[in-house]
Amino acid sequence: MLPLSKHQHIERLYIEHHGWLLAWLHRTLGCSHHAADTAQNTFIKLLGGSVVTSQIASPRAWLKTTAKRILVDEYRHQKIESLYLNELAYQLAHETPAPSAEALLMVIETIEALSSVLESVSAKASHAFIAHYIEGQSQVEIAHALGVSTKMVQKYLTQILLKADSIGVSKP
Amino acid sequence: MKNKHTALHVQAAEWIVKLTADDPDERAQARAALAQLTLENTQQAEATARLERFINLAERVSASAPSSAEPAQAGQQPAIVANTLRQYLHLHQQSRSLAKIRKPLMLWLLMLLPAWGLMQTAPLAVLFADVRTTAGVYDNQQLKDGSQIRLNPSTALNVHFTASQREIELLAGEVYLDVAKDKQRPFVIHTRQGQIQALGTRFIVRVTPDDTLLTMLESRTQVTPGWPTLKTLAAPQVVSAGQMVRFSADKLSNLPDIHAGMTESAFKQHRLVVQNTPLSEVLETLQQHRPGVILYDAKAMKQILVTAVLPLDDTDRALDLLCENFTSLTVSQYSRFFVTVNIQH
Repeated sequence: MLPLSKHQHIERLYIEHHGWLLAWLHRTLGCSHHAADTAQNTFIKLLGGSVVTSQIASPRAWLKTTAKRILVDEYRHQKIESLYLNELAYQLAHETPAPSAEALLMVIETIEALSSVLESVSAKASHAFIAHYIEGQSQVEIAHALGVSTKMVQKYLTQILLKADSIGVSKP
Repeated sequence: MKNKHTALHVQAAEWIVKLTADDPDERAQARAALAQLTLENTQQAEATARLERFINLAERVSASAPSSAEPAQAGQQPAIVANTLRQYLHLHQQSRSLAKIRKPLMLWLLMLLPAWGLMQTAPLAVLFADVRTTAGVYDNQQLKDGSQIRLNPSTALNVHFTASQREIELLAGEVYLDVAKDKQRPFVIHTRQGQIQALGTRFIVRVTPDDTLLTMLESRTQVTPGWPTLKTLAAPQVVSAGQMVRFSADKLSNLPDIHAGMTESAFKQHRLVVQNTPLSEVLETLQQHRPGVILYDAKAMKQILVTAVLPLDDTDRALDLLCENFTSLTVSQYSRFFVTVNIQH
């Protein structure tokens, strides 16, 4: 028998597990539309991803993990969007012109990319990164505020850059 | 997909960080080292550029205000981005540390404080609730005991039914309950601020992060603010048909009486009936019923009192109606998901 192509593999996964995934998502989310969207996005991720589908040992566990990851990303997006808009409304008086939807989306997506890395490091490290590269505080100032050495601040920042690189966030 | 960083790669990251060090000598040294690296090793040069891109993200987002027409806004953008990130990370940290604590203690937490333990993990708890509606979506359900439950939009709850107990945890939003009679099994609703116990009756419960609002339509319930095993700070109170109470964990206050029949039919017809209610509260309710954001100055809106009947299933029309009645109010709709409400003085 010829080995199956990638698309044939995905087709088979779809036929065998789509219904199960949908049922699980429906139970978890309690909304059939949201469940259908998420199931669809999970398979789209398979099509576009670099995963070798024939090597997934237990497809259901993999699909469940991927679907969960999609939900977490969605949750982060919603949260950051509302936090940013609130912050914008709080900081700015009402006379400023409303930002365009595209410009808003770009800023929000960038903040999401930053937080997907910053949420996996310590609170001190993420504070150092935000203070230095966003608020423009000097490394010595930050060291003073955190009560650590300047060397330690540099170590935090280095750790974050390497983390971002290994997660693959800063890919163009 | 985790790849081990080579020593050279780690070194490159250190140099990049030193490019913005306080000491000018340190900066010059780092610049020279990176320049040399780029010349000598093209492969590592590429990897180094990749490392710098994450910093570029941070710099770009703080430099580019979404509406750059306003120079004042450009100056505030770093603070806005930084605050957004810090608030998000704080939320994330909270839900994670609670998840960590929850695991080993799960057993006794579940036995002692069923509502409390799960409630604290919100808002992730909302995402994984048993029953959930999103903005603009209504739902009717019949529970196993025959009780009817109607969910307003943006509502989430968990159902725990056993042979001896009927328990519901209301995590977010608003529900109408028509509780089936069962003398052996009391029906208990847990919210963040306390519990409501019923035998067989009809009522509406609404939760916000700060308080719970109970509207009795028929018969009676008993409200106990606070959590069952902790010290109760406010005394339990019996609430009867036509009464409305608002409670937090340590305080319970009676609101003006309502007309039970009218309130019930308004709820079923997706209508909001308010009487001398601050506009900020009305907008908050409208927000729950529509996707996207409504931006407004809550402090200023609190001063305006509204008496009206508004359609909740058509929030655009509800906003129009508010505008017609308050001429000083302007509503600007930039997209379906982004509406601002302003007051002109």
